Amino acid sequence: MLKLIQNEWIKLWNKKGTWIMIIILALAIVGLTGLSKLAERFDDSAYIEELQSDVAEFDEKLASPDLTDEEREDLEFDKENLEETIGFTIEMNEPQTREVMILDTYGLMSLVTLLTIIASAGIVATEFSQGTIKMLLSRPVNRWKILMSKYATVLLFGLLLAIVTYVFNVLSAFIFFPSAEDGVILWGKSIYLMFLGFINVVMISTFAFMVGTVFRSASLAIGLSLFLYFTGPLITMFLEKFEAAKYIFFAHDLTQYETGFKILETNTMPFSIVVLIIYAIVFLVISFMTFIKRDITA
Amino acid sequence: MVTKPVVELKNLSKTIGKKKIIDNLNLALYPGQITGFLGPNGAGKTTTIRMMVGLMKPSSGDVLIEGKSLSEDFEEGLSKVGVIVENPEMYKFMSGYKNLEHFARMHKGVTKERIDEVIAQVGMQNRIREKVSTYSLGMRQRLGLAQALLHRPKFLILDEPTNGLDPAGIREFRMYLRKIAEEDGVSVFVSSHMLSEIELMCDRIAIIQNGKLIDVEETEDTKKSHYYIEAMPLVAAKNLLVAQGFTVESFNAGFIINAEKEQIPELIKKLSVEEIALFAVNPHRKTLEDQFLEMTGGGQIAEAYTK
Repeated sequence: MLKLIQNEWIKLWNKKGTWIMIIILALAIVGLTGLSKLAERFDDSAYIEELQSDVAEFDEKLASPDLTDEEREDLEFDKENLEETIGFTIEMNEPQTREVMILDTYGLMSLVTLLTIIASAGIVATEFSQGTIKMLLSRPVNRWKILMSKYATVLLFGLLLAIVTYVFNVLSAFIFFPSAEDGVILWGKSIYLMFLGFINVVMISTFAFMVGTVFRSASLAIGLSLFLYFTGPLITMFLEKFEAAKYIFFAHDLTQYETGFKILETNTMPFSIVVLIIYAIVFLVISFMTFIKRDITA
Repeated sequence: MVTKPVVELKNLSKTIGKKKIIDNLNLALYPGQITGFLGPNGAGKTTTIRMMVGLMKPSSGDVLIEGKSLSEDFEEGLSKVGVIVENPEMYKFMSGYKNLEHFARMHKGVTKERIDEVIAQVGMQNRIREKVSTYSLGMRQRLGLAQALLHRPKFLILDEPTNGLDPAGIREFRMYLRKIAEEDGVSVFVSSHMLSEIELMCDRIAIIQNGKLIDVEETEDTKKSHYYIEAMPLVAAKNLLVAQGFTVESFNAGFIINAEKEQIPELIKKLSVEEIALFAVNPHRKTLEDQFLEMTGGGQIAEAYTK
């Protein structure tokens, strides 16, 4: 089994695309942190003052006695909105700290997801499209072992990308950003968030793996997985009203329970874990069944 | 034959949809023998081969390799088989050597020395470190043969093996197959369209048509026993030969008889005594092509009978 994984690993790294992916990932991380450093140069304090004078105007208007109830309500609503914007802008205007940068590393997992989907979608499909599948399967190795080694390789690749992301982000956080006064880096929590984000990577890659195995088309698998990855939260929002919405795959991104931005109010962490495990089992059973039963005619 | 067969196909059948692609095939292959596998296009050669190496599952029946059933113990059965199915598709983005290493890891006990040995056998030493995408078709065939031989198989299955090889390569290839068959007792199963090639290479020929095995014969007896005779007057000669107990068959301007070499001088003497003018007495080799076309009734593609 280890030799099979070694084979898959070697094949993966002998493709130029894999190296390009890693390089893009590293550049993107360093680039993004660099950009947010650059954004600090723009001073928003003039803009904030302007907004605050707008608030004063609202106060003046509200002070006038000849307002109908309806008009008063409208004005108060607008004023509240404005105050929210001011609070947000002030927060944005504060310099980023190293501690926050490191804690927020999990936000970069979407890059990892993207690249792992590409590797996962192609790992079975390209064997078919290049005709090498018949060389691979006419060996004294049971088919489930071959598919298992490919799945394990995808997970290892995803893990490697997550580690690269973490290391590069921490490095650039140290290079670009100063530490906050009395700041404490929450290493444990940042890694825990990465782990929760990684579960998400595993889920969507398993989906891509299934589509690639069943339909033997890498492009279909990449397209479908990315489409669902980006539109998933939107779909969940549309279907929120229905009871069944809580079983939708995308309502279970585990990082939501740590960050507090919940997708559906009713879901809990244990429930999400159970739902994700069931999805993973279904995806894998479909992949293995079709792969083992298929007659190779290519 | 007393020796135990290396491979046995037992009542092998394959149905796809409602179509019977392979119908109740029985065949035994013996060590040290090269068996040719012939059939018109669409007869089921490739399907049979794919079932023998586990790429397709039989609808019924079984493949036994050294007595081990593929459906029961796939890994053990297939560990003795080396395969090239049609064009050997290798990983183009890797070097030939890395490809061989890759396949070596999927077998037990293939050492680095063995890999180098096989590379030398197929004459690929100079280009083995280059990417497969730079190889010609003939070189890919050589690499394909190399990967099939890595684990010293007892049974070698080759589907269209000489496709793309140059004449010297084909000759070398033929000699090599002979050598491993004779010295190591490997049983070789070759499917090809090149009849002349099969004729030169094989000890035994299996012919398949419409998914059924229609004949298995040794090539040796097709080579010896026919003689072509041209004589005047033809009818008198013919009658005389029939009276002698030979089977006579008209051919071109004369006829062909079944006769052993030792009978020929006696025969010529007799014809001369009868004052029949002889123009030619030649050993006649019925080519495999003649035989093949005779048996399969021409080259039309097997009709798909859908009932």
